[in-house]
Amino acid sequence: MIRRVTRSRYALPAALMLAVGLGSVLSLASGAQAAPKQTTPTGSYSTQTTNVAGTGHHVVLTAGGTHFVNTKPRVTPHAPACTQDAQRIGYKSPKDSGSPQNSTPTFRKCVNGKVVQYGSPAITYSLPPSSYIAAGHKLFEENCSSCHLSTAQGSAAAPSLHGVGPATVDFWITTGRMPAATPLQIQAEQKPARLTDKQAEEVAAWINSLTPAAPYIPDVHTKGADLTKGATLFALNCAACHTITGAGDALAFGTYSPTLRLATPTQAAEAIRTGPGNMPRFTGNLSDAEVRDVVAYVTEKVQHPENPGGFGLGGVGPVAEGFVALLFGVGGLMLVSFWIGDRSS
Amino acid sequence: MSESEEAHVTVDVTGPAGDSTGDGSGSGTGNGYEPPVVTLPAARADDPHLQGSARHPRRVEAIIGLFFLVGIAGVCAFGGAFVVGAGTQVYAATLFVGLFCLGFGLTAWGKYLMPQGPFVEDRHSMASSATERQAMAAALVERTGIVVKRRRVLGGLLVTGLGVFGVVAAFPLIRSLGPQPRSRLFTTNWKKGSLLVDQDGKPVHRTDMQVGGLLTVFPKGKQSTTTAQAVDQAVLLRVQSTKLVTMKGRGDWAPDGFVAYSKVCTHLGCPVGLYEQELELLVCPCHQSMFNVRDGAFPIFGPAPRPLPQLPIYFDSTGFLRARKGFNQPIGPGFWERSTIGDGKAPST
Repeated sequence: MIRRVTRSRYALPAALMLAVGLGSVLSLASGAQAAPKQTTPTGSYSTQTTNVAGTGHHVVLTAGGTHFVNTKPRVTPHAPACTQDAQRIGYKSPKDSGSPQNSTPTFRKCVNGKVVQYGSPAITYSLPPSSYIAAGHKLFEENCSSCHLSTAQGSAAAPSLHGVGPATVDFWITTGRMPAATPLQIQAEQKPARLTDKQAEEVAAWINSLTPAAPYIPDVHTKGADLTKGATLFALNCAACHTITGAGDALAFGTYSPTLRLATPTQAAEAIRTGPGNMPRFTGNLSDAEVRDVVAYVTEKVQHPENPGGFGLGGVGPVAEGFVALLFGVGGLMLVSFWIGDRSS
Repeated sequence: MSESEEAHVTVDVTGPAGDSTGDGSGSGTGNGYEPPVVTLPAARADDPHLQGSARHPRRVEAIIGLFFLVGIAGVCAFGGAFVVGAGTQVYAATLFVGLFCLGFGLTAWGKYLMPQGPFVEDRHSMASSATERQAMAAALVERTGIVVKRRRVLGGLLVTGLGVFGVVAAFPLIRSLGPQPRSRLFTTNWKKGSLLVDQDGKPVHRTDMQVGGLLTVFPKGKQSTTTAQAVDQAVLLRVQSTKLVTMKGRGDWAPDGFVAYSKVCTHLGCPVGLYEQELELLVCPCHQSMFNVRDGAFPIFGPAPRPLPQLPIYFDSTGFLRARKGFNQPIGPGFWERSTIGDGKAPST
């Protein structure tokens, strides 16, 4: 019977279905933009705590990154000097939009006249401790100075890093885009991070010491986020480039918007506030609460889609689903029809 | 089969055994019609025509029985899953297994176990004789004329009714194309002094956006109606921190680098929301038209034929953004009444 099958008209459609179908399904399952998992801040926490630059904040260092735990903070009495610093590093924006300039005093922490933390109930922006600066300088010399030069002033191959702020540096390094494989690409692609999260913050601390700027590294408090509002904002602002399923899409001249499957809450907030690469920068037009809603929506709904059909097909939309229906559905029906109609002897 | 030349019907039948019956002995008027007599050979259990095609029928029967059992189990599992509420994927899997196995078993039974034949049954000639056909045609023409031509008035009224209905049936078809938009295609709700607001109705202040920012804006009061969202939507970008001149004569249209373009693509009307801040391009997601933001949204790639219309904006006394007037051109894809050169002025209607 097997000989009969291989010589019959079943052979070609069946082989086509198997080869093309399996191949495309497997490639979709592994992800079209093959990027490996990032370390996410879950799991066991080591209990090493440090005092954040003398403010009384306690920092919990984990394998996944630094978490700033809101213990009883000490507000320094030198508020007027702190306001000056806030205005120097911040940008003008409405209250609670990622700039320390308009943060209320209860949410702005200062040490020696310098802002080390600010924010709102939704997001806390923190500066890496100044003890990181020396280590960050060494890491920068080893990994980044070949393109950005020792003073971080930039060259033909790389832009200047003066005034970019800690959030920008932390984003590019923790997502693995920096150190870039080659500076000649139009867009650095996401890849396994060369530096750990702590090392990224050290580099951020050193770069910020050259020219202090906002925004600082955000810590998003996703508890209490409004997912419906996040979905609406996502559809209006993000879905145009990243697609409604967060699968990413091709853009102009070889650039592309990356998939959102791998973003941690911190990375998502950093991207929104700093606008890396070709991504627009959302500052005053999105409050901290709105950014928190979007980040919560991305990390909870976009990264864990429900897929009632059982398989999301990469989340690229109806073309993929039509392909599967035509190839497997109609192809299978063809095979069955051939079999029914065949002469039985 | 041979046909008789006479007027009445005769039948000449040859059965499978080769003997012919019937000698055309019907009555002269053709009223007596004798049905053909066909005899099949007596059925014998070992007749090869009555066996299925399977070489090992018992084995095939066992396999088909197995499929039926699996099919029953699958269908029962579907029922159980439904009662328990097991979820979409379980419903689909159990139903597929059950129905497929039952169907497969049934088809295999028919293919491999049923008598495969062939069985030949002759039948009498189907066509009427030539004279019969001629007589029928003559009778039809003769009698129809008598019947129909008597009621001329009624016939005329019926034809009129059907004709009028045919004309009137076209009315809903034409109306369903929609009302004529006339001059509505040329204007939007943006007027002199319109306040730019986002989708929540919040106005936009000059400190709200940094360089590289993007916001979708509407004229105040219109941000929640679907027509306004479709027609008035504009994309506000901040390209730089100083005044931006996109074209000659638009010197005060983009203060402090804030520039507003219509979000409706001039190709087929998709919202152009993709802004690449380093390349300074607005990309339309539908057919990948790319508009150069610095150059008055001129299309540098893709099927869009015209630049996106620009909205001239300014800061009012409190620092909020307002429009100086409407868009410089009718927004969106081209339409018949629009002139192809110049600013596309509205016709005099």
